[in-house]
Amino acid sequence: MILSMIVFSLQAFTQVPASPMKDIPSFKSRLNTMSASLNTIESDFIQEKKLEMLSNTLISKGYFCFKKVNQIRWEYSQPYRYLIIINQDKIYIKEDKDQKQYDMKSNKMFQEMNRFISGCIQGDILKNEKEYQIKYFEDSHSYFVTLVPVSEKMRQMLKEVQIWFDRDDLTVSRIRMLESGGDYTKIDFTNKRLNTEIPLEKFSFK
Amino acid sequence: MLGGCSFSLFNGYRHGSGSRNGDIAPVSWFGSDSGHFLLNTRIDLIEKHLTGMMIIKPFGGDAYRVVFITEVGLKIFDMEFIPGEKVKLHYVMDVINRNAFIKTLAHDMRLLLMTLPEGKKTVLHDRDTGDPVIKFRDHGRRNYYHFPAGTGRASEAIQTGCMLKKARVEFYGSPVSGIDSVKITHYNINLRMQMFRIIEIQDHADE
Repeated sequence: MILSMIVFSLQAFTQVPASPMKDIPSFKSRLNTMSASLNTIESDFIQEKKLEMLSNTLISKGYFCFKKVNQIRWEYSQPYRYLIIINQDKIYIKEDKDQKQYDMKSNKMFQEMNRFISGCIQGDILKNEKEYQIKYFEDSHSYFVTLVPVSEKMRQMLKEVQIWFDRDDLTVSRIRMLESGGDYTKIDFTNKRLNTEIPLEKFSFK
Repeated sequence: MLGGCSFSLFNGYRHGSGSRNGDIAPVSWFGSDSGHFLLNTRIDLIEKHLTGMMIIKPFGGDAYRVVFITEVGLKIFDMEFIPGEKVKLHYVMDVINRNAFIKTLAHDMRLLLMTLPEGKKTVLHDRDTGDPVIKFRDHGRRNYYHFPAGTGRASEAIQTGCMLKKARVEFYGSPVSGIDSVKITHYNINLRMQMFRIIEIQDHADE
């Protein structure tokens, strides 16, 4: 019983495409084409935070949308309402009745977060071979890319970033950020809609 | 001398009588063995504002692990508290990795969790209400916990150095449902923390 549970959990953890990608230049070229034609993306998301000290994962859910250039909306509905809007170099956060606006230039953490998220969504992060050691894999459903930060300082925060791209439309379907102690954050994007009309108000601060 | 110093600051306290000392069985709000506590948390430090989720996991024997993560899952800090031992810092994000801040945070968390060495407590009483106030010594500071009559849960905790008040924790909750929210304020620095408990919906993935 215990052995089967261990085997099951190992399988669940290692369910990543293990075959090296056969044609990396073709994947990169298709990704560039997709990225160039992508103006907006909307999606629901489920975020799981796994902490080694807890037996269960912490689940957050919500709605995400992106619009070129550099406009992002993260709208959490669970476990509580929380909204982040990034519009160019401004960031707006709303929680309950509190709302705050920051200049991204004055906050290094938000700057990095924004660069990382938009880089993942648009695939630009794969061009950053100076900052990450990148490996490419695939299976019949997904393209799978692992990024290991080159900088030791960065590795203290993130040991590895894993990105799953949908094989059909090359949109990101999952991101997993692994930390050095075994903790991780996994975000699954579901119900994706590409190039829909997203009202400007979604990215404006009220 | 040192005792006199603190009493000059807290005129509202008097020493407890021997008969009342045995009445008090202080219990931490976070000492439950129900798994963990999840709190929506806001930390305001001068012009820096951090929001996210504080996860407090008791391990028994007044030992705790405290992890603070942002809404998007980035870990801000990860600390472990064991009574009588120095805080074990598992991780702290570079942007807040300052000795003074970490030290203050560790003192605040110990005050919040009531993870204090055994055998260093004194029982006092509030002059007006007669409610018990327990004084603990903690790494050169004194922590005063106010216990409303008939409860083993603190309603307020105040931390002092030798001369001045340092921090205050206000606990809100009931003995039945447990902690609901917490507010931590500082007297000498512009640091404030607010925590609101999140009751988790049971649709999380068990691993």
